Amino acid sequence: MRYDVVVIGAGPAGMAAAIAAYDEGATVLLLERNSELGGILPQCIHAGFGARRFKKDLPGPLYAYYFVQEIEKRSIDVWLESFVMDISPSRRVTVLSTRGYEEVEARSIVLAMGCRERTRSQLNIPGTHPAGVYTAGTVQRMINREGWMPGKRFVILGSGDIGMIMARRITLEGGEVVRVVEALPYLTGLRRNYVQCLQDFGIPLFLSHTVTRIDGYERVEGVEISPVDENFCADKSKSEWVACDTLLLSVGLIPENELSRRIGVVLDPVIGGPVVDQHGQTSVYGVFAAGNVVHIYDLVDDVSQDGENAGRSAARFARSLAGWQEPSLSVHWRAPIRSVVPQRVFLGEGSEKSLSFFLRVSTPCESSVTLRLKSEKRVFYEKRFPYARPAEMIHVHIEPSPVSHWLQYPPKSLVWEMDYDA
Amino acid sequence: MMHEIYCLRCPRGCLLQVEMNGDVLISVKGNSCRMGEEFAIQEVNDPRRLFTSLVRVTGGKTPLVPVVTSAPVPRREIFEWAKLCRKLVVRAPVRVEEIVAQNPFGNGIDLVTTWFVEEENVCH
Ligand SMILES: Cc1cc2nc3c(=O)[nH]c(=O)nc-3n(C[C@H](O)[C@H](O)[C@H](O)COP(=O)(O)OP(=O)(O)OC[C@H]3O[C@@H](n4cnc5c(N)ncnc54)[C@H](O)[C@@H]3O)c2cc1C
Repeated sequence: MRYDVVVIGAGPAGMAAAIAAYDEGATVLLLERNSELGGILPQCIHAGFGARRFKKDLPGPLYAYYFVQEIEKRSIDVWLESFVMDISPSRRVTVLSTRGYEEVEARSIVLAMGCRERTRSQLNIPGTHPAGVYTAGTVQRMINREGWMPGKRFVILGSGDIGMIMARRITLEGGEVVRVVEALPYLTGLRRNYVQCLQDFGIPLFLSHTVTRIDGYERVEGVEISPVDENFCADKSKSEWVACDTLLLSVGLIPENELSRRIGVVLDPVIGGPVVDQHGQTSVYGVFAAGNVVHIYDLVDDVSQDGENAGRSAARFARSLAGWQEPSLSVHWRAPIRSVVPQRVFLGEGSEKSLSFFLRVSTPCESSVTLRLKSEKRVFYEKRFPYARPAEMIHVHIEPSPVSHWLQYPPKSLVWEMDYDA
Repeated sequence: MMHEIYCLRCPRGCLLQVEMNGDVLISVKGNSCRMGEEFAIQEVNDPRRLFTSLVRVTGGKTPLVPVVTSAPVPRREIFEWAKLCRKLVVRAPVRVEEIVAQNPFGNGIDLVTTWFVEEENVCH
């Protein structure tokens, strides 16, 4: 079997990529290991999706459904319960499904495998290993899809959005959330989630605190919570023991890049996702990437847009394999900027239009900041922002794109920097 | 009376200082746009939230279907809606945007599905 574009993963990134690639005239195969489309969204039953794209406050499943309908309108081949095991550098995709083992040839590939959660083993919390320690997304799936409550009295570690949203869900389902504990001195999720999910229900948030021990043999019986200093050193003399039967970990997401690694896609060491250019091209010829597999997005609208961009580019690549191995410029950045995507700017054909970047800072700057993109000679973008927070990605759109200028006068360096009052 | 509230209208989350005299708004400070003022008035007088939850499904491939209220509901009503959701049962197949409870609390707000559940295959 042979397709122009094979998309791996049918979350919002993969669905948008498949639709855009099809609309560019490509033959498309969409592969998904789950038994339904939508990725993580059908279990994110809360609202807050699609404000930009649909100008409405949609629950996650409804947002996904609008894309499912678009897929169904087109003759895109969709294989569900199909797990991609491997990809070869010549873009042969190995799929394991209920039909058995199959190989598909692709002219181009879009990686859209999403992300996974950090677990207890990545945190090194001391103590016993009883039942009752779960990641927030797992509990989200148990409650929202499978219909059972995994505990009665919960402690949540991490103040990210998924953790706070689960605190509200658990409370509404009759469970008790005794505490949300965050090691950093600030909230890592959005304030609106703090208000709607914790404050509304009187759930206490403990900043600069962490879980320093888990107790219990068969099942969690309680956890020890201690204050931490700025170096995350716990002060055990002030620790407190809290009885609970479940510990929920909401301590971050990691791009899912097992497949990417196997074919030698270069990954960003800070983010863990592929280094990409503005078309979503990875370091492997003909392999594109979009969505949470590249970096963890806060807004699903941005994920869909990223998917469309990668899908369209993959279709164009499939049509004219040539012309895609042009030079590219690498983008650098300085603290307090933590990460920038794309990390490269492709200077080939079709790159002269607009250029978008996503930046994240490592520490919160609550007073105004100035963001700047410059080369050794020139400033290409400069703008003031009222604040910059780690929980909110900064989306910068540069129009018209400076790519034509860079084609004529290639700069030696391209740097993002940020001025702020420390 | 002074109230300190975070604005929920956009991800920025401004901390608003709202001065009220009974039901009458005297001033809003700390907002960075007009929406903040509108939000403050609503939030202080009648806080509302979009409510989402789940309803049980029989004979379906999955046991639950997610639902949302057709408009934001008064915050104090939230646990009533949660209780209602635990009582309701619907039969598969369930389609997207189907009304599962019409105006249950008499304020014109319905409960609507946000995903679908196909019928379970009977033959194995
Ligand atoms: C547990 C969890 C909970 C989340 N909750 C929220 C939330 O409450 N609110 C919010 O705004 N955002 C939430 N997010 C972020 C959310 O993932 C993104 O907004 C968005 O769904 C990302 O889209 P995506 O298409 O990149 O990835 P996903 O939606 O994760 O889709 C990736 C898809 O790829 C498939 N896949 C992976 N590997 C393979 C393979 N080898 N073969 C075949 N298929 C494969 C997966 O099964 C999955 O369906 C959550 C993320 C996670 C992981």
